[in-house]
Amino acid sequence: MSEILLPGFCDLGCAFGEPGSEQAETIQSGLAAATRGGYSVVAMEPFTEPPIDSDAQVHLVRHRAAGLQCDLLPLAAATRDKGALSEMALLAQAGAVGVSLGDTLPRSTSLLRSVLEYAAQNDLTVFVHPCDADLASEGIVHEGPVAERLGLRGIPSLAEEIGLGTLLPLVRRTKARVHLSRISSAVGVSLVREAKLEGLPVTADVSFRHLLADESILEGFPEDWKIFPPLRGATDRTALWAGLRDGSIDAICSLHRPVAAEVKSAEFDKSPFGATGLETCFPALLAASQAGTIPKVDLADWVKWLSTAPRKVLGLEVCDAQQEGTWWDLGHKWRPSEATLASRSSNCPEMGVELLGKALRLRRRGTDLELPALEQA
Amino acid sequence: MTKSAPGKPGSLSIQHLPGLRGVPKSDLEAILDTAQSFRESLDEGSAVPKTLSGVSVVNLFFENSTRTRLSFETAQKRLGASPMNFTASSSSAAKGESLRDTARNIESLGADVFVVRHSSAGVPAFLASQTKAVVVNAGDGACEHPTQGLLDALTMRQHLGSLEGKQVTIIGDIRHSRVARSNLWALSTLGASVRLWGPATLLPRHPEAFGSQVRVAKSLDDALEGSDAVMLLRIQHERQSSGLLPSLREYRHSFGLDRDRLRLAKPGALVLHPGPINRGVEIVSEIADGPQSVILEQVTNGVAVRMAVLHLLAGRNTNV
Repeated sequence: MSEILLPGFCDLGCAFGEPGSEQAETIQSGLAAATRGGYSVVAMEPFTEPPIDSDAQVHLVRHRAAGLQCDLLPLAAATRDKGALSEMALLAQAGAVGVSLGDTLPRSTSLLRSVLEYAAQNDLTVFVHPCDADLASEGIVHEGPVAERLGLRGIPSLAEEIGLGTLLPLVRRTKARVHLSRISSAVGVSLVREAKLEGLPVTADVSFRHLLADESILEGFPEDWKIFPPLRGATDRTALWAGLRDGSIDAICSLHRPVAAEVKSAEFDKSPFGATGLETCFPALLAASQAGTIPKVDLADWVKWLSTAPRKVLGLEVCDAQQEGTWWDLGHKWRPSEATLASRSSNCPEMGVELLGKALRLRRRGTDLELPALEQA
Repeated sequence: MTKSAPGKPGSLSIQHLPGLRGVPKSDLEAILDTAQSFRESLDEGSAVPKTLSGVSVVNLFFENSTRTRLSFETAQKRLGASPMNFTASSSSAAKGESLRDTARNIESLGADVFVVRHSSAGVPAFLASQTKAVVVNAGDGACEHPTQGLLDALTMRQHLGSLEGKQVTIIGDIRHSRVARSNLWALSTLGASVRLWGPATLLPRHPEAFGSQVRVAKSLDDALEGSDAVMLLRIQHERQSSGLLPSLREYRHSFGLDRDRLRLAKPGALVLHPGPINRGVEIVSEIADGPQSVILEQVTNGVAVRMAVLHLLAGRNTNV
């Protein structure tokens, strides 16, 4: 067994269930999952019940995460009450690392413009998956041949194209810093590439599942692969890799979305979007890279995409593994099961699949520590 | 066609019928041959083997249906079964029960055969993966309606002989139609070519998904020209309120089948419709009730096809 100490990874927008859906994930179980997946810091999406849209909520979340072995940086909701700006100055003061619009752009472009203007004034990055809400509404899977064959309503790549078409001119005018979360399509990659060449203040990430798979995996209605944005076509997946390679896309995210089993195992069209990913992201990528189903990647590039680049998006310095890292056995083969994962939810497409690489121990503030224990069932 | 005996139960390569996609040609032909045999017995009033006698059959209808359920029940009773009917208008999710719970409950009923209709695509396939019983899809969302596809194929075969090389036109709301999908799979496997036409808002956006034998036509003329069979799909009135169709008047104007349009197809081309018909919208009454229409034959064939599917997948060999 060869052990290697890698810098702590950083996730740009995982979701936990606290407050509101603690049966799916608490902040403690989510951060345990993150730690066991090699992460030392995660940004948490604010769309809980109630959402994190006040300074009090930000304080609560930070309090719940205090003392755990993975840092939690809260994103706050950019709007509240479906149409008002959130108190961004107070949110920033309370410790919000950015504001998020979530999975779609607001239907009101005026509100979007206000969010960007006000976030820029408050020096907050706006996180958003640039998707047109109307074109994506009621969609189940990517609008492509698989949706056509299965008779499922599609979510077209056009929704991302039009989303970026709306957002990027507003970024140009407002000079707001925007992180484009979960780019999923070839056209999305090329629009982000052009925006960066122009010098717009944008960064972007892609979920590891969009790097691993395409829509063809949905042929048998596997609800755990039903995620948002949806897995798109094979050419989109190729373009996402190209975008990652040339720097159009900065980082890889986990798209960690725990959903309680009783809710997830509904009819495919009724099953909520989402899959857990913090614990399986890196091992699934390593296994696929070794199997040749994704390109070969140097360890240095994995570290760049999973640690250095996402930390930079959050304004954090490069991580020094000697101070804050994870000891890995990169040759260890294992199969995730409910008993071996810390997440409270089991909606993980890698369940039972052979993965490569397992976290062994942590390093925090220069000291080696054990991994957080698994919750007793 | 000479009268042949029905095929033997258990002789198909498939164990369930969640759909027609991927069903081998030999299985499709075996089902159609057996259905033909049953159809002839029904016409003659002669006895059919009671191979479902003692077989526990449950009809699970999670979506409203009168015609399909009645057709299945008739088929089941002809084969000697005493079916149980379960109807629920809401999904598992709406009841707060997971689909897996539904599957477990169903499994506990201890039935041998489940005929399932559900508004969500994929439910019959899921139940088939969870139960030891035989699962037959009676319609799932916009995905498949395999017994409809089979009864359409049987009807066409009775008039056209082999479907190899035949041209079939389907006009209507293809995008939301499970009938269209099941027909596309069966017709492709059986060697026919299919042309699709309808309002642009109701046509598939990715027709390449259905393979090289299926194409979207360029016009109504292109769709109909030289066709051996013309299938019309029912227009759902709610398509108007969802912004996909201006009006039924406009639909009739642009897509309704009348005598002049039917002349573009081959002389004597068959006219099919899965029913219920919107008279004067998809089709004028003159054609619906005319000599080329096989719409009522489709209904009779529906019983024969459902008998064949149940007999071949779940029947017990008898000496009767």
